[in-house]
Amino acid sequence: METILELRNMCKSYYGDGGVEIRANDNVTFTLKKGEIHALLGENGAGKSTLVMSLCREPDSGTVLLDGKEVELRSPRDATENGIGIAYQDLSRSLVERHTIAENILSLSKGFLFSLRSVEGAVKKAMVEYGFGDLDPSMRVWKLSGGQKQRVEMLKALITNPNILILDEPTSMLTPPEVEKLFSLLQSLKDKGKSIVIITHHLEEAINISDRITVLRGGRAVATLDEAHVSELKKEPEKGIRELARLMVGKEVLYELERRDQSEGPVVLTVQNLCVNNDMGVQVVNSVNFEVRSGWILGIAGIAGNGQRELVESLVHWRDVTSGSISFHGTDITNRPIKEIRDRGVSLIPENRQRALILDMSVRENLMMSYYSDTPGLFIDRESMIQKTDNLIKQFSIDTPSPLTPVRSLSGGNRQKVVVAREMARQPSKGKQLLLIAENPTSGLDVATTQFVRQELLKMRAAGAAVILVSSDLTEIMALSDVIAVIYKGEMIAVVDSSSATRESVGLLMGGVVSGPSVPEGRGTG
Amino acid sequence: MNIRAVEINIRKKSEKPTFEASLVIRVLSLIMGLVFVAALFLLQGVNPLILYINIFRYAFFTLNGLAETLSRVIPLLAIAVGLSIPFRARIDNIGAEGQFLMGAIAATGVAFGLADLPSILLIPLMFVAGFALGALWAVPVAIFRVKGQYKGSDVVVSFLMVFPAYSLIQYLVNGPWRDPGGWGFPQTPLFPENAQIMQVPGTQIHLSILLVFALTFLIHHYLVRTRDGIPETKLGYEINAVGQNPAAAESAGVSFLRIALTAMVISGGMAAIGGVGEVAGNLLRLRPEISTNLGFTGIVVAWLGGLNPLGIIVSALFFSGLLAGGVEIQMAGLPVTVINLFNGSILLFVLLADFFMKYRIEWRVLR
Repeated sequence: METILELRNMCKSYYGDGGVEIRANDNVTFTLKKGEIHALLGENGAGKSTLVMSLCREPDSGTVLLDGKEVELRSPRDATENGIGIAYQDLSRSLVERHTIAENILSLSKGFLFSLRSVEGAVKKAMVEYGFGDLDPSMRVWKLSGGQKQRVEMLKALITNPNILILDEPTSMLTPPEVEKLFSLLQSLKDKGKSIVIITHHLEEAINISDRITVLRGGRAVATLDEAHVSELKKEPEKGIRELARLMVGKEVLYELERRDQSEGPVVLTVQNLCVNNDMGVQVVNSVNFEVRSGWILGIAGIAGNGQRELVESLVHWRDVTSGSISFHGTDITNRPIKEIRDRGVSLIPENRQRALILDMSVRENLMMSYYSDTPGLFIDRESMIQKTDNLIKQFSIDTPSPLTPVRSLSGGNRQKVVVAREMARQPSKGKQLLLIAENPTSGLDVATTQFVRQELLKMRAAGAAVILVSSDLTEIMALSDVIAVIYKGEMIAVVDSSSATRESVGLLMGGVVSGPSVPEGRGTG
Repeated sequence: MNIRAVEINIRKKSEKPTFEASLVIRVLSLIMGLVFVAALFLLQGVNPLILYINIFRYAFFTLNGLAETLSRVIPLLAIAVGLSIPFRARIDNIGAEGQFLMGAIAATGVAFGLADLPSILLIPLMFVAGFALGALWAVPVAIFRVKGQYKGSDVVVSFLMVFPAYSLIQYLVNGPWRDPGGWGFPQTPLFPENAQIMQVPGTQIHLSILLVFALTFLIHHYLVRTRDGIPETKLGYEINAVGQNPAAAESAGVSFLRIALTAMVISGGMAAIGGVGEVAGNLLRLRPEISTNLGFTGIVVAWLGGLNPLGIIVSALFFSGLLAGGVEIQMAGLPVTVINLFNGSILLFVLLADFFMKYRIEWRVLR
């Protein structure tokens, strides 16, 4: 097969906090053959997105060869005109939320005279062609779920009928069935002779879909596995995953987490008929019931945007409960002041880190946020705060030059460790158990920190805390939870024991597929 | 075609500037403001260097001038230190002028209403009443800021509340409180002797200066100063937290409304204390001329002082020196209102400097 796209010696640097040069791409060379699916693998910050972004903006140095000819691609439009379709990762920057799907796609069209109707027609046609028939072109983007947005973004890339398709993390918000569908679409595009680059950090996906795999680490291409090698990996996915993981992080990662069997404790949290509205005033949590016991991890699985965030926020009264009740250790805490709820022993690791950390404050000040008011009176007990925060930094091995360093200058992983340390070390009153709510606690973290956070969650469970883990990462849910509740369109459509659940059964539930009145009982290891 | 020739990015700096660096930057921004005004003086045919030297010599190196500087620093310091608290919590109270005037009104009311009380009771009562009315005048700002969910409402509300306060003074001195023996001048009678705050003999430095400095140090000690990165009180910590990231502070259980109310009560109360001192220690009667825009100058003073009470002492002395030296400006043949030029241009440069301390502008030329 001939080479269609070649990136030679690409370099791109950023200047990070304090003027530190970050080489996002350091002499990366990458080739894409005609008619292949090529996976770009790497941890967060490995330089995957930076590499493909060189196709729509200028790199610091390096050359782009398209069909053997050197081209300069300086803008997304240049890319489109050269037959490259890119589906970007950061949808908040590539889709206009207030516009409809058709209007978003309109931004690709040229010329001054256009009719929205005809664009809608074209969009409709393309949707049917690519199997996105369930989307309505006149829907406003903010009303869509994460997965739907992701498909709109993909449609934007596909509609110009490009020869080269670049997909930057296209599956992060899709349900397993949707991923299947996407992969068969990619396969058919490949059969038509299109060349596809798919960026992912899902090792399994990479092995399943691609012909070749390039692994990036720390801004360099550490390996490109050829067709023969990849098809070998396909035969033994387990071994393949390990090999890729090793390449990605440079060391063997322990993927196994030990979740010891333990007897369940008393009920800590009871939620009854809970209804919550979203910011637009639309009810997105519909009459939800569940309970959490001490020594349990309740995994709430679901595709992002199915009401999980609103559910979590209502538990700590960041958001009003419209009806229903929440009781914690037998006390009603529905719509009580945030401080009262927290003081009773409810901890939250929110996904939105803007709300978890004050970036311009020091590590110490951020850590003491949950503890400074433990003593009565107007004054802060300085000595105990110093001791407490120093201990937390040590205990959770937060890598900071000093406790007084602003959190802003820490890496993403260390920032999350600050939140984790603060929320996990809280002590509820005697005889009661802490309720820890973790909302996508590992999203956007590197492998090592992800592992760390997951282990800490299990430690909390062993210590008798009640844990609610909300995650759109099925692997995480399967590995950690005792009980899995699946949320779909604001309803808990199933609660299953994790020992009897399989990836497939939970995946189907996440997509809203309930087979029969009873919960599917599959056998498997998960 | 790419029409952009330069790529510009504004990034937040990760490190806070050191104390020395921020001091240098503030002094530089002050000098830039002075140079900017100097250019305007030059256009008027006045030698700015000589004028500046004259102003500062008068304000700080002559007895009369120094006394005037010190008497003017009292209200200015009270207002600016008060303002620094809501500013730290990111509430833009630009209505200290109104709160200052309400303080003066309350003091006048108490002075005439309870004129039989001995000084030792009457004067503290005037301060308490002033503080209360000033705080009351400031409370709506907090409510609008927090409940309004709109970041400009504090600016609008606080600013607009200046005018009713000023109109109230106009009404009182033209109506119910007018001095019967004052030939119709819009002013109250002289304060009864026991309602007058003692002055240092031969000057207009009244003893409120002790109160104001004491409050300044108290606020610094309890709300601002940190040791090992931790402030003395919970309130001080919460004010910082709310100011840096209100959403995160609220998520951790800090009530923004409670902090905003507290900050505005302190701010309004401090401004009002300035007003009480000014009317009972300096003017000795309520007149509309009590309003000399000190409440607005206080905004500049607070920012120039880095929102730190100790820094504000320095910047308040600087500005009251400028005000006292206004005589020299007149002698150079320019109107006194030229002083407002200083306020505006120095605030501009201070805020610019503040921006550059927090953010970095990166730019590169695109080929």
